[in-house]
Amino acid sequence: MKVLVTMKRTPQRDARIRVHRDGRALELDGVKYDVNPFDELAVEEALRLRDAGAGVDEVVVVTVGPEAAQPQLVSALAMGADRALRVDAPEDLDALQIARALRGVVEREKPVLVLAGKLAYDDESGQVPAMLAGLLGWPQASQASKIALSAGVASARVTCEVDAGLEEVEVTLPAVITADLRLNEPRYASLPGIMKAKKKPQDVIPLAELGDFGAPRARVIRYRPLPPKPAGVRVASVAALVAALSEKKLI
Amino acid sequence: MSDVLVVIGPATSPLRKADRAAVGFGRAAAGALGGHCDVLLVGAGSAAAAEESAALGARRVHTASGAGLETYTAEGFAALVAAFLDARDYRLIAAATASGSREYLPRLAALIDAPMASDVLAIESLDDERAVFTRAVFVGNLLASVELSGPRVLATCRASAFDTPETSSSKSAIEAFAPPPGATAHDGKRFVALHQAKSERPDLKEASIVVSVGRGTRGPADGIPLCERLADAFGAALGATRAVVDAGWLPNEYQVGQTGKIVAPELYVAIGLSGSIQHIAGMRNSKTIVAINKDPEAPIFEIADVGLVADLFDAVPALTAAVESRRG
Amino acid sequence: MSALPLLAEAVVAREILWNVPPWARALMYVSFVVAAAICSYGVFERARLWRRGRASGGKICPLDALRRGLRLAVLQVKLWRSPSAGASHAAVFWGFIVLFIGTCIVAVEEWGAWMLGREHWIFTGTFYLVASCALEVFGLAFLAGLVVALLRRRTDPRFRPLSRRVDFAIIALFLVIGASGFVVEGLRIAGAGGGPAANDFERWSFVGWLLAGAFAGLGARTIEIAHLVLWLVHMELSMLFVALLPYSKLRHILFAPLWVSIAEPRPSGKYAGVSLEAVEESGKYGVAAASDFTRRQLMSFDACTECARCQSVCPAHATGKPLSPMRVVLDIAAGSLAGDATLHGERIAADTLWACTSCGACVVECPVAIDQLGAIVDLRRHLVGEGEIRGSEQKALRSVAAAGNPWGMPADDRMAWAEGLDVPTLADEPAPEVLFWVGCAGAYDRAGQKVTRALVEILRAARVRFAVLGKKERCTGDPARRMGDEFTFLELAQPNVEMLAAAKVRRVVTTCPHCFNTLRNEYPELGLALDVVHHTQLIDELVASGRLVLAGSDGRRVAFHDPCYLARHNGVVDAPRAALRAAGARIAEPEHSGERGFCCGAGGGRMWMEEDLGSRINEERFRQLEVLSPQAVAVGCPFCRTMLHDAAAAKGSAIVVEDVAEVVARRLAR
Repeated sequence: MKVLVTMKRTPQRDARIRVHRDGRALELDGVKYDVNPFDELAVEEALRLRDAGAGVDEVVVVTVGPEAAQPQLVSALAMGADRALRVDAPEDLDALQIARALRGVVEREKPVLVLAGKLAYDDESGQVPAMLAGLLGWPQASQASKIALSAGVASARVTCEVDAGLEEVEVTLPAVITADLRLNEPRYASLPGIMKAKKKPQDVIPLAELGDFGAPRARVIRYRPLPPKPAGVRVASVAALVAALSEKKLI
Repeated sequence: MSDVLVVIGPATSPLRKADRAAVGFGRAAAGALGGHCDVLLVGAGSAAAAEESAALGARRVHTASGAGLETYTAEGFAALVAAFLDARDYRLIAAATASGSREYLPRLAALIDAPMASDVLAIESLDDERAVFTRAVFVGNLLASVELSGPRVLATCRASAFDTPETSSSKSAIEAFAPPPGATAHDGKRFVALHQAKSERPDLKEASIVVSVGRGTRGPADGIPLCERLADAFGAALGATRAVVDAGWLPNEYQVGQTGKIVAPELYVAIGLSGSIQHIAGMRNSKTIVAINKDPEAPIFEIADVGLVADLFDAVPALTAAVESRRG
Repeated sequence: MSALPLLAEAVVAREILWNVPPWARALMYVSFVVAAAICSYGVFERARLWRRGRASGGKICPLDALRRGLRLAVLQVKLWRSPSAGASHAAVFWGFIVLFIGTCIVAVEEWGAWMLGREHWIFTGTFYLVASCALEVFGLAFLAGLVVALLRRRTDPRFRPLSRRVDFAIIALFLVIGASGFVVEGLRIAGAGGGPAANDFERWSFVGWLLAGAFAGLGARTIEIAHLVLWLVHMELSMLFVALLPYSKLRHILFAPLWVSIAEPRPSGKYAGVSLEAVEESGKYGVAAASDFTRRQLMSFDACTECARCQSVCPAHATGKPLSPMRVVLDIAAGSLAGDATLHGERIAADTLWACTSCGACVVECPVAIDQLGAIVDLRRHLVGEGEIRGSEQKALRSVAAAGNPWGMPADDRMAWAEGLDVPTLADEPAPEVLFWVGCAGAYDRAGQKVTRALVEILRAARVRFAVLGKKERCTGDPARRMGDEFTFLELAQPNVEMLAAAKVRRVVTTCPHCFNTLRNEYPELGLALDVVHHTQLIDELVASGRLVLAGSDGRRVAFHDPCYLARHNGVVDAPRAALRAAGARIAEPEHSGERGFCCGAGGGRMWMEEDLGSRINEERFRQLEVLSPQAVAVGCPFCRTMLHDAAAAKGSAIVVEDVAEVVARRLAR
């Protein structure tokens, strides 16, 4: 049984992202990329499901993007995934287009479970997994902090972090589940993993093979930095704090 | 087509502040389009919420409950709204950003093949051809203007960015919507249980004052009870950093931050928390930010309106006493 | 009394194996063969297990081996770090050797006599007297050493790790062998050849002589029976010792001298690198099973005397972490019996390996030159290779690889500390006297920046033509290497090596002992040999040469905390003190200082790890400094500074923690 993990490459967490002078794009020259940290949680979970020997025997990682995204697939392979797929596509596809491309991959690969990070660290929209579930007509569970597959891999008991607390649901498989921060702690991909990764299969699927995609219908037309916040004041005592707050009529 | 639909689901009675703000967003959008704003209440609580919703100045309030909608599921709710939209024309379908809408609105977008913008902060331009919204990206450090094309678009809106509409004297018409049989059936998902910490305190997303605790409080046996007493003195909600939730000191629903709840109360009191970028993304738009921390170089002081460098174990009880005495 | 009258009265010799009937002699030989067989089997078993390790090459120079053997195995210089232990062990050691020689002489006498067909051919006359007397002296020394060992274990709580039942059993075994030897001798002198009256020369065996006097009252038959019984006991216990030798800690008697002779000394701060080609070929990185160690490493672990000195100086162990370097060594030795089974998990837990601060105290203290730290590092490497590194330490590793510093701060901000100071980079000063390697802490850590700026002031005051690398500087790779990620280490080190080589820099100064250690000891292997000094050494030099003039006097009582990477790994102990004295500070020495200092707890990558187990190392060290009632604690390392500062804050102490550079900078003549 196969688990498909969808993955996006995102700029490294520590990178300082600057806006291009014309405001229309970001200064991405020299920026280094990583696997989206939330997708890493999904890769790690898929690996754990496989290693637990409960019916999952293959972990396939897929990304939709240009060749520059290949190293991040290799990172996922270095963590221990078995196979990597890239749908060769331009970087500006919108969420629905990406979801449709992934649907094409799902129809080819026929996984029993699709895992994804709950959102991407850069864009933070978090739409693609739910859109994919909708296109496939599959049930979905989001913001999972715990996933347990049933014997026989027919369903999954998922604990979801919702606004009200922790919600436990059961989804029949195949399903789409998104990973939240407390799902696991991803392993480190170091040298021996990277060496083994180079020998694992990496396939590329041209976007056109998965259908007609047309033009993106959502795009960013402008970026601007946050307006600066005026500096605050330091008070020296609780009494001064209380005075400042009553002045603002907060106490 | 210039009408806006605001989806409130699962509908609660009383309505959540976020849902009321979503109606505010919807009305503003409808104003820009020169059209009307309708409300669709989904779920078992819709009938109870109809009365309150009808006083928010929408044209019509629809309720939808029944088979497949007894408990919230993304599958059921998305299918319901899709069925509702089947014979109706809306330019914009909106909902407040929440753990539920994060799931069902994109699913709906896929079902009706329309683009969506997540967690918008402002409407930049909206007419029959273009829809441009502002949203935050890169852990809230940059603002992006997203343009959605096509006749129909969707958006979740950040509650703290929009005003709740004044209670209107005229009442909207209330209509029940009955989906076609089987439209909301979903065998694939079964609700098992909801584990919720019972609390007398206001909800984190509803409260006008939030007292938020970080690692400096040293845990439930140490500083957290002190902060809880302060929260009670203020009548505030309690919030927490990711580190506190990871350590198991408070449940996940208290987490404020990029991956927790994004709040913007009148007053946010940050105690014993250093202010990681991810946490700040969740509270930077609070009207007044107060920080109490022993470390004068903690990043939280950079965005605090009022900062006090002190040991929270001394400062918090003193502040609590002052607040209690002033409240009488 | 001269020896000559003795000769005139009787033949100075004794009947070998008096009162020992043929069956008992046969038993002795049979026992010996059996014991020797068991012993040999044990020795060959261990040797076979060593051979399962990786070959590691390297020729052994016989002369060096001899020298090392003499120093460590014969003179046992390392043991004398504790004078009482050195003395008592020497007493047991030399006592045993001389007694053993005595037994050999007896055997040679017996067989020689049999072969040559005459009695008393060497063990006679003056030789007999001298030898017998010597045997008494050394026999007493043997017993005395054992008694001291026993008493220390009963009375001194520090000896708890050495007070196991097996330790007492071994001491007891030796005591019984030794005591019974004297008693047998006493009985023999009392009963053989006419007794003491007829063999006055026997008084040279003064202990036996005294005992014989005590036994005089017993009847001849009693003496004979007692003698035989005790002789059998003495003999069989000795055989037992031989048989048990390779199966107990006594194996160190054979393996330690062998190992210490072969062991080539390597500075404790210099880790062995890995060949990426070898990793690619074998698919192995680090050590999973015992057979992944080299043969020499496996031999070294069998040399362990179980003295627990390494454990007693380990800062992690002292603060309740589940790490004992001795236990790691013994677990590996035991684990090598389990074939290719992994050592990780049940046998050696990950918590054990991560608790190590790489301070090297264990390596320096070990009397038989075992590299416990090297073993821990090899085991850590396997964990990292398997991805089994999580939490804040994983984040630090990823940050150091991604951003060139373990805090993940932007590379662009590397010169932020220099704002307004007009600090020259190599572009401004292409041929400086010295390159100031600022380091990640010096560049990004707020406290570290203070030290950096202080050193800049000092260099300027001394008119030293210096330059920094500026934004091109990246982490030396130390955190990655200490945490076990050689790949990231090489990714960081190799470009640094190229950059430094291209810069044609001759001398480097750094304020961080970790940078200092890596640049000085570990970069040469990658092709870059530099003169690297620590800033305290440079300050000392500048003061001594008169280039740096200091005004006024600090006057405070200052306790200097020796950074492990400076003092222990690199022997720099005097320079920081000299610098402090030049500034007028009055130095107070803690109990553990210099090469025998106690770690602050940040080494080995632990700076970026949570300390959840036991008590805090930094607080323990601060306590050791606090008892001196200093006004300030001076450090020479940004990590030590942070750790001790945090400890002071946690205790609400008013003691100021600052760097030597800050103390000196205050004394600059303005």
